[in-house]
Amino acid sequence: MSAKANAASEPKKRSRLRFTRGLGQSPLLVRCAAVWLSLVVFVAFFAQWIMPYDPEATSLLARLEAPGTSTRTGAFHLLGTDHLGRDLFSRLLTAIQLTMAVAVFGTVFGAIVGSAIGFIAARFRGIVDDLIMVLVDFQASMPFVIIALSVIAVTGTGNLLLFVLLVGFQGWERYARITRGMTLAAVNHGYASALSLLGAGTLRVYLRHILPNIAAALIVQITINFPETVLLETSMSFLGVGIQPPNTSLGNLLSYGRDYLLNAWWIAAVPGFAIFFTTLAMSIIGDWLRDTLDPTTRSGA
Amino acid sequence: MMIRVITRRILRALLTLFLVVTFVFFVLRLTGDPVSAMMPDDTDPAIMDQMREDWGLNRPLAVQYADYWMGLAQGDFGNAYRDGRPALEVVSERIPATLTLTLTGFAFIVIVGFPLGILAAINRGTVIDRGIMTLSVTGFSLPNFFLGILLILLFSVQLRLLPAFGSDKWYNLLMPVFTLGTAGAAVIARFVRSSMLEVLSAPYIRAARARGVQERQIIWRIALPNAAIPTITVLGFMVGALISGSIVTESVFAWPGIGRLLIDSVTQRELAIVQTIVMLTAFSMVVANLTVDLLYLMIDPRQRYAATSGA
Amino acid sequence: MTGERVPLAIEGLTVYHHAVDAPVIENLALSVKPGEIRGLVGESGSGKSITCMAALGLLNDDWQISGQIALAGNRTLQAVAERRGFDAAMIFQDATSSLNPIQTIGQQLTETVARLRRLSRATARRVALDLLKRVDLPEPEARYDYYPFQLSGGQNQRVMIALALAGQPRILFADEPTTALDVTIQSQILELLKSIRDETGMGIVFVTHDLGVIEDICDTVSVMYSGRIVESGPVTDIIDRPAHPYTSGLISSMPTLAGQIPAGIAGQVPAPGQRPTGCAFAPRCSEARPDCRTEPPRLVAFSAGRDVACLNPLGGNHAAEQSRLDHRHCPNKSTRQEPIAEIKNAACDYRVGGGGVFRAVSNVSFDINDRESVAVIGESGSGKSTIGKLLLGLEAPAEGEILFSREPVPLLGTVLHRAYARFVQLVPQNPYLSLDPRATIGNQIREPLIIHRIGTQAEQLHKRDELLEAVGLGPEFADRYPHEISGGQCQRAVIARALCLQPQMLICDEATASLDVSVQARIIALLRELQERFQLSLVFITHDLRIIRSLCQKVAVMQKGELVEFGTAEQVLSTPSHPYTRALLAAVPEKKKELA
Repeated sequence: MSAKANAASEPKKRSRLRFTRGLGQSPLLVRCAAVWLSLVVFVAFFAQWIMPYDPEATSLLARLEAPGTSTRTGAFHLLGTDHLGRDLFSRLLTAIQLTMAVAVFGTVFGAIVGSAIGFIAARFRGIVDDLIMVLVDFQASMPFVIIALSVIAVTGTGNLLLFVLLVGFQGWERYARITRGMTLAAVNHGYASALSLLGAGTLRVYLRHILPNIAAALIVQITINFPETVLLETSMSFLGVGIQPPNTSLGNLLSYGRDYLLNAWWIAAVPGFAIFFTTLAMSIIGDWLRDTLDPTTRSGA
Repeated sequence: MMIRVITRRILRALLTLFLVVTFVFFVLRLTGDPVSAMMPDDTDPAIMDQMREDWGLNRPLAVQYADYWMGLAQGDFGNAYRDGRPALEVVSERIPATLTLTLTGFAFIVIVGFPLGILAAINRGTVIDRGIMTLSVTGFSLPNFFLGILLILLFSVQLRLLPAFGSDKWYNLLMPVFTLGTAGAAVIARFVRSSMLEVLSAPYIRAARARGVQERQIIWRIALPNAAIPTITVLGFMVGALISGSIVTESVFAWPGIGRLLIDSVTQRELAIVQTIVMLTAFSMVVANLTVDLLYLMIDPRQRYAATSGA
Repeated sequence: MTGERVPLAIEGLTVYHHAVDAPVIENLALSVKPGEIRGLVGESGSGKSITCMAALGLLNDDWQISGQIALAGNRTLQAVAERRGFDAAMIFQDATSSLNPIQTIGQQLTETVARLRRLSRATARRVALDLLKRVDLPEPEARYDYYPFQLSGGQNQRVMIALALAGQPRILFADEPTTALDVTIQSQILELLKSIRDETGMGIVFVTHDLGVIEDICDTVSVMYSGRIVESGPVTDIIDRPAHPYTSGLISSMPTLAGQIPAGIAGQVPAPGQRPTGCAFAPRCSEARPDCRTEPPRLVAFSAGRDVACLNPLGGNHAAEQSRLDHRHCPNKSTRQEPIAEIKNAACDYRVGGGGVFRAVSNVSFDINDRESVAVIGESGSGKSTIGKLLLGLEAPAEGEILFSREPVPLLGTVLHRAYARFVQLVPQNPYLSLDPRATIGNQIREPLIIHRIGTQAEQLHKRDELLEAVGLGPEFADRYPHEISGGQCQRAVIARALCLQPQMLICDEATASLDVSVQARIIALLRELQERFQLSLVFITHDLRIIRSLCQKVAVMQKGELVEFGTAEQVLSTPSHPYTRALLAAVPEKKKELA
């Protein structure tokens, strides 16, 4: 047992160190992922300034142009054009902007609502807790898309704010479950009960002590949830029940491209890869974060 | 005692169904007026009022709610708005296609996911492990609608090996099942791997080694059964993932199943059909969860003991 | 014939850890004769378990082993793995988690017997049942079909022993096999191991941190420090006349029933990568000479059958004698004989699954006088911790009442309890768990003052430094995080925090149970000192009867939720009236002559 105890306390120190050292020491793959994500974030903020053309400007003379071609009017289309002759690169930038906005806003919304619900369940226990857990179990056992679709069926498509909130709600039950579980663990046999014995009020215990301690787990959950939010939004937009024109998400772009697979495959491929790289990058960073933040799940050499 | 536990699980399943029905009812009645949702905006208000009267929408909510339950009890899920056929009938026609797709998908997930996970765990830290884990991350980051399109591009457009659409030949299943199952198989592989690794570091593995049990025996006879138990839960989740996945997959491959019907009904606001599908999904999920619970009772002696001792 | 083979002979064993990039075990020699039980003792981090794992070839690729290991005369490193189970077996501290949770103990045992003795399943089953009988598992036929989780820790340890016996090994490694068990169960398991040794002539390496257990069961002992053996020889010799200052320190750290005040050893075991040149113990050694810090001592013969690795071994027995100075009684200061806390006919229930209640404590009455220390002792499930919870207001009594200063103790979560926090505080078992891992030690010690709005910031910081000084940490610890300091230092920080509000009573719930004896001794000394200085009443909840007399005037003995005996420490320990108290005392692992 002796050396075990020592070894167990070792990685904790090291992981903390590793985390503070930051991305500089991380594997190549993680750094690539970080570069892609910062690129995407940059685009999300500055799309208006970097896009070469108006994404809605049609040109019947330059339809379905291949990537890298210059048209007779002298316009250069880095990623080609779509069936209405719109510049695909410009459209990609606006689509990234919208998709990212929905994903970020939705993820943050879901994280806040979910963890607040989890805190409430752990704080009040009893009937409140039971009720919340029934809802959590219910949510966990119902595919979220089905619920989202049934709401959309009633309200109709085209309400952007409602759609964002709906997409954000995805995964709330997991935040609730994590927050509740970790809070209860802290309350029951840890520093939290020691603090209560010292006369500390609930608010102090929860906000000053428990929240910082479960923050790491919540951040990891966010990195898991974010790609799922992106996938939910883009697939619903792809199916035509999400973002509606004139707004364009990556899902919409992909769905237009589906009809031109035979003669203009890039219309589908470009937004498809954009989605794929974004979710992949987030997953890689999430994995890395989890490994560095939590020594117990650390695997591999 | 065992019976009591099973009864309790079934009661919990019924509670979920109750919640679904209540949810559907309130979403339909509270988030919007079905009449104005369904009719064109310029419809004569008098006609709309008449319809509300006909459908009993002016009555107190509690009465409507009770009525709604009565209807469901008699198998009345409402009629399709377009052709007036019972929604249940419209949906039922689509069940076989979706069932074929999802069951094959489930088999795909298990057959691909489990061996990959085990392989990665026992080769932990090697090229094999890293390769499988990279594949896994790629697998569940790849949007299934995009994967479907890539498959069509490759096998139908470029190689001309498989038709992009159709559902009557066995090979029509190949691309949809791959599209549907990849993410799930990736998740299962990952979970099996970490579950195996956790078990392999347990004290009882060390103790088994200490009394000279062969490494192969340790992996297959001790570690795997222990690691497999928690994966039952994840397999239960997979049912939900398959249902959501089938919506996209069916749309990409024009598969005549429930998923495509759902999307069509949402865009055409066929509320009766949507609610039928929601309830059917809920029912499948409840059955899946119940199966998971019962499997646990069968396989895990700790749960069985907890159940029989009445705790 | 088997008796002639030496069960275990290790020579020049060096175990190197790749990640630490330093040897964890260095040039270790260890041998066990047939029928010998050799104790392996030392603080956490001294390398006891690693030695056993290395001997069995259980270390993975992170480790590199060199040297010679011979199990039952088979002398190659490679062969070790193949001989596991036949020549050598091992039992562990946590028996329950060392058994496959989803297979019955009968199946596990039968499979092992069939494999190791090459028997058919039917025969193996009979042998397995015989083994279960041999290890005194009650009702072996019925228990054959039990899963590990259905058995108690002690019963599972018996199953582990049966599994170890399946291959009729010549050597058994026992890694703290009784540490997690209650003392009465511990003494039964020790007796069982002795009788098996007598019957089979098997050699045993018994790893423990408890010198009392060593005295009880071992013939010889090797003392390990920082990856080396610093002293070895016959147990009685070494306990009576330790030659190495470290051994002497360990011995003087042991609390005894007789009331020896444990001295403890300052400092902590250096981590493998940070061992000093010269003697690894020199920085903590009071006898160290300048050359101790430059030259690593080798293990050399000291007297007949004894080896020691020390340049300046303790010649006579002065150290041992000094440590045995008999402080038979706790300073019998003039306690005002008025109760500060009263437990009156208290009962306490816990809700259990399925709507039932479990009565953890029933009809318990005793008083705690002002500035007095009371030990509450008992085995697991005796309800001793519940007494602490009642006194802290964490649980409400189902019957009877709990009074503090003649007022009922308020329940946690009520407004009154906030004020009560200034009178009664807790020192829990695991200091790491009771500190917020993401806040500095200094801020956590100061926090009670912030909560209760006491003093200005400057006053609070002053108080913080004062407390750090009082618990022997010093202000430089204020900016550290819990994971950066040792368990003993952590416990000091927890005590400082508990004292921050100047309470009148401290409840110590197994406050030293998770610490090494050397550290435990110093925490006990600290508590004694603080009690004097801050005029505290102490309630010391413990399973270890040996620490009572050095700390407490009164003893309350709990069994299955009831108070079976209450009296002065002198009374209860010398002339116990209840049979259960006598059984507890008899089970305390110590040289039996002290009891006589």
